[in-house]
Amino acid sequence: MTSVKAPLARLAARPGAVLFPAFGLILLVPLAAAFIPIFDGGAVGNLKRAFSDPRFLRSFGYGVSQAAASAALAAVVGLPGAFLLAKRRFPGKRILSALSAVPFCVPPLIIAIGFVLYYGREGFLNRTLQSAFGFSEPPIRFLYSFAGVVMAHGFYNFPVVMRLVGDAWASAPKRHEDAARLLGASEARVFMTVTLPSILPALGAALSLVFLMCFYSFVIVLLFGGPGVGTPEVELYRAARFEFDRPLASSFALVETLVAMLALAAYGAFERRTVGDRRDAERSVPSRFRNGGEVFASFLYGAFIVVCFVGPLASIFVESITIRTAARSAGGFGWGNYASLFARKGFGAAIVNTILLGLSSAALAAATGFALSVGLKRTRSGIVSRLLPLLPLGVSSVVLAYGWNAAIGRPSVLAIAMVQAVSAYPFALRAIQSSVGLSDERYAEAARSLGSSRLGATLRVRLPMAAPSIASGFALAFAMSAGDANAMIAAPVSGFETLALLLFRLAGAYRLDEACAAAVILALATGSIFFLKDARDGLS
Amino acid sequence: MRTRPVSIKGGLAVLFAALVALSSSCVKKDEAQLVIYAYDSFASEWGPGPIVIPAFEAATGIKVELVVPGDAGQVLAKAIDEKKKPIADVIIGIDGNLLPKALSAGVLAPYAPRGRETIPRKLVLDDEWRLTPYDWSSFCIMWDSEKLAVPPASLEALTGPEYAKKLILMDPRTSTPGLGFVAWTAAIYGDGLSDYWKRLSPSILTMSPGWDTGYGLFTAGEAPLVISYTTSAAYHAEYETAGRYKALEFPEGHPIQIEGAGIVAKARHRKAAEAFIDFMLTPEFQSALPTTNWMYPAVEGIALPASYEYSRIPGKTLTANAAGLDDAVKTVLDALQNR
Amino acid sequence: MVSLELCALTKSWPGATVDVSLIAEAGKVLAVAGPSGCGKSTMLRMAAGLERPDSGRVLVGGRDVTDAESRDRGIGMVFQDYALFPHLDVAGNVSYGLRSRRQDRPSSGEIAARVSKLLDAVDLAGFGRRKPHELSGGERQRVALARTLAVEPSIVLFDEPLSSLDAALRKRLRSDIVDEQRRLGFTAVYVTHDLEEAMAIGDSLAVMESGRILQSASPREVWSAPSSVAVARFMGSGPCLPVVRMELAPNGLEAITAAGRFPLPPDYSVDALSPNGRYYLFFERSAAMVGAGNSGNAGSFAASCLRVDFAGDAVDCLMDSGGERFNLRFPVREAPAPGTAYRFTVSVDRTRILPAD
Repeated sequence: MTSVKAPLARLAARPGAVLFPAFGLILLVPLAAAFIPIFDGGAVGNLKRAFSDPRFLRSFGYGVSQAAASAALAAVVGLPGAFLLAKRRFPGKRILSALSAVPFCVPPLIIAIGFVLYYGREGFLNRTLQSAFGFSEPPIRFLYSFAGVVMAHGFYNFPVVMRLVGDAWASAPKRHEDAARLLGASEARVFMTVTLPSILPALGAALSLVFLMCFYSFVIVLLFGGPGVGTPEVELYRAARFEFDRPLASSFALVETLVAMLALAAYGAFERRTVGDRRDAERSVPSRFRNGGEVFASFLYGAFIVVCFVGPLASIFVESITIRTAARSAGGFGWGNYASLFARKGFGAAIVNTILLGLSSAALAAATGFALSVGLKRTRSGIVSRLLPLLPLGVSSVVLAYGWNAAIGRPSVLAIAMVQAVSAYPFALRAIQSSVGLSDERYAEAARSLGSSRLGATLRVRLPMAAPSIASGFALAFAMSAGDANAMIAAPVSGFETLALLLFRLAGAYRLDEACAAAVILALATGSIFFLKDARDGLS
Repeated sequence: MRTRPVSIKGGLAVLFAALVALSSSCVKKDEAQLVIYAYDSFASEWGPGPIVIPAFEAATGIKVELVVPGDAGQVLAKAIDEKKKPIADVIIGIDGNLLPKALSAGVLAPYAPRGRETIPRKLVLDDEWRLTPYDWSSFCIMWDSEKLAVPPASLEALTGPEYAKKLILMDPRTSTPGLGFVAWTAAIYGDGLSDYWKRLSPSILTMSPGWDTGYGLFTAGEAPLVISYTTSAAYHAEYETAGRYKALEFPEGHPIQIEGAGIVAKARHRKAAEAFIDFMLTPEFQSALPTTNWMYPAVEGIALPASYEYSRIPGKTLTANAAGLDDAVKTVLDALQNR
Repeated sequence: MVSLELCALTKSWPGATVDVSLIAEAGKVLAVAGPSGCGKSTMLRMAAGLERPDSGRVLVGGRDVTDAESRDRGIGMVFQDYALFPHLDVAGNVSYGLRSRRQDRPSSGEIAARVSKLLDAVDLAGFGRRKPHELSGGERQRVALARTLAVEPSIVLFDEPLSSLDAALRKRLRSDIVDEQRRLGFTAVYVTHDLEEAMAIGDSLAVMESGRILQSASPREVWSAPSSVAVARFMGSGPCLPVVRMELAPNGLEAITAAGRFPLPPDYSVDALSPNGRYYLFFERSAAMVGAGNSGNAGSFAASCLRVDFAGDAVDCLMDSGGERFNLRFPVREAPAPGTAYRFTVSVDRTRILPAD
């Protein structure tokens, strides 16, 4: 037995030796397949062609500037929320915290619909204002402009800033601030010289993450950006779908990915500093509001979030329970849209598929997340081991899905699960790495000193100790998979439909009410997963 | 603490069960006798696919595998990718604008179908019958008569200041009707295309990524004018109250979109593919189109539903030049981006 | 030099209350000792204005600062683990307070001069550009001290500054702090859970438990004359034997324990003791002598020695007297042998009666 077991155990004992290549495989194979056409007719020539296209360069200018502005807005909106999450106790905190599910789990198409229903020329706000003040033209007109894109992106992504910075803020040592106060610093100076530097890495990480997410944005940019604008992703789409110029499309994809990698490198650098800082942290307990001014300011902030951010989401719910008459005007409220959605042939299958796909993606993401966080502990340095875990953040899932399609020749659900797992995995890893059992090697060492093998120490000590955080990572990946339709739109598998895809098709088939109903169900499902996860993490 | 190992084992079991279920769903036996690539709305439950495919299978006994790579552009892109070793036998959804690319890529093989004489001459896109047209419709501007009192009378009138932010278009880089509108303006304005779009730009509220989103904005009341098909009016008449949304007829004339299907070069099931192309011209197939695809049947003499009374065929039809379309799109984008 | 007075300063949470009254004399070191979690840090934070008390007052040199901002109190603080700003170098840390001044802020040249002088004073000349994580534990402490002293506070609070260091280093750094305090003459409150440290550093010593100050006096007095059983137990300075009954003897009161009889000093009178009260008899652990002695004016008790621990210049013996176990300390040569029963005497003037808690 031992002779059979030994090599296996050795293999398992060096997870890095197996997992890095395995992980590299599910990431790099589709990536390579997506980029291969660039050599068709000479890579240099194709890149030259890409750069000589003025629209392509313009799209870069637009993509970068809108992403940067969106990230800045997300930071402005997110920072007060981060403060509240980290430092204050108040009713409704869990709800605020659960909003962080939105950027990951609500598809951008739904956000776009919500914004139209709410901020649009015929949206809730304009109708209300017009009937209240008798304006003849809609007073709120920012939606279809650069400002509209930035608003939609900024509000859509502010929970990312809120969450990442809030976590860092909560674990920033309180004593440093106290020391500064006792040395005579005013509250403003305490914030600028002590608090801000300690949350700056997290803020930088959040900003680069939001930048990345907005840089790859598609629907919102096209819909609100004004006629003719485009991001690199749009130009890529045009080259691939309408000019059938694969080499050119690959060149665009390559350049786009390289730009994203820059943002990613920034994210990685910031994230590492955040992790380093957290080690000597002492969590301060959130307190109640100090005075009436704070209550008032927080109330204003809450009202702002409700009006600007929750409003569009709520509009989707309102639309989902609005029964339209034959003349397309609202004919009252009811659950009819839900009834017809549930009665739809294939709805049950879509639910089952969503769960199946979500479980597989989440299992893959959590398994690689766990294995890599153990493996990364062992491998000390090396650019590969540092960058590889973050790489998926800089690659659009559309490119990955397309790459798989090209690599294996036919659409496959497993490939989609892998694409989703790869996309969700950096977030799962982040959740898992925070586990005590993984961050403190002494437990595993204790197990080994008690006679456990390397594998045994991992299975019987690291795994059980990390179980709660693995569950968190699993839940996160599941929710992300359930909300994602991009991979399946890029590489559709015939006969395989999920809730997110059904939503997309309903919106596309001009059944907006039912699409909104599907979106509400999806948001409830993924949102409640986040809610449970938060409850476990004890964030409230 | 005792429950943890159990929950881990349970989790692992769920993991493997899910993976096995997934991978088994991927392994499908290759028993199809005909593989068809179609665009998503053709195959969707509201499209003609669920009616015509079973009808074809029942009529011929040929088992069909319907593959949906995405929109029509993706159908062609996939066929071009697989040119050396084709998987599809028939591709559905190649329109006049896509045809030059399909022909230059050489993915289509000629086949003159039975019943081709029932197709009006003006709908035949390729004299060698590498593409068989099956339906068509005219592009037009749809007008929401409740939100806008006076509709524009012509393409030129659309540039008027009274229509500022009143028009929804689709992006020509990502959508077929968007491309169709560029082709339309290119056919009318020729060298003045850039100039026209510069004048039109203030009227455009947005150029949405796809027809569905743009038309959704239109029916949500965001703007009273949208680029669509004359048959959209028939759709509203069929399912809603006729009259609110009207198709506008412009004196400059209207381009038509013709959709066709073709047999893939080196198709593995050539005979079955021919049978399917033949079937597409039968009344059984053609009569399904008006209320599923919301297009006119290509074959003359097919009875139309009553709602089609609201969809008038424009008096003047234009032929757009598909070959120069890429350049036209670039001209339009430059005009919009360099305002 | 100013004093710090905490007058009935209270703060309560569900399940815990801090309620302290305490005076730190001007120019002296007040050590506060107590087990972890007894509320020492909360007390300091309230004194510094970092935590708002529910009630009570804080007086600095007689001036009421209860409602003043932290920075207006003239109080400095050295934190546990020092809380040096990780993103600033040593000079940046030390000069932080000077740069935070709202009025008559020194010029940057003056600041540089002050910083180098301060660093000189703590033997860290040339360390200005180093980052905190590049310093050893001792160096960090000196930077923290220099940072706090830079703004010339009249009172400095020390919140267990040495708790994470090893014993030898602690002893050295402790004397550094005392030297600095003697040199500059600031009033210091030094909080620690380490009794030895507290006794060594404090001009006076306050013992704190469960949010209350149990006794505040000179370290010597707290050691030999604890005011309660709890203080005696915390100090570990001698046994507390339950008194079975009091007897009125010709020379005064006598306390009877399970295996002993102790005449009490004349200042204990019948009137001062409540008839139903329970009492303990306390004497310092080194006050017991082997032998019968003159039982007329000395207490005596029987005890057997269970174990002898060698403690260098003395031996610690675990004793059993009528079922009570306690430790006594003897000079090495007078050590009882394990497993043997003895009679001991305790001089009258070293016995104390402590009321039960």
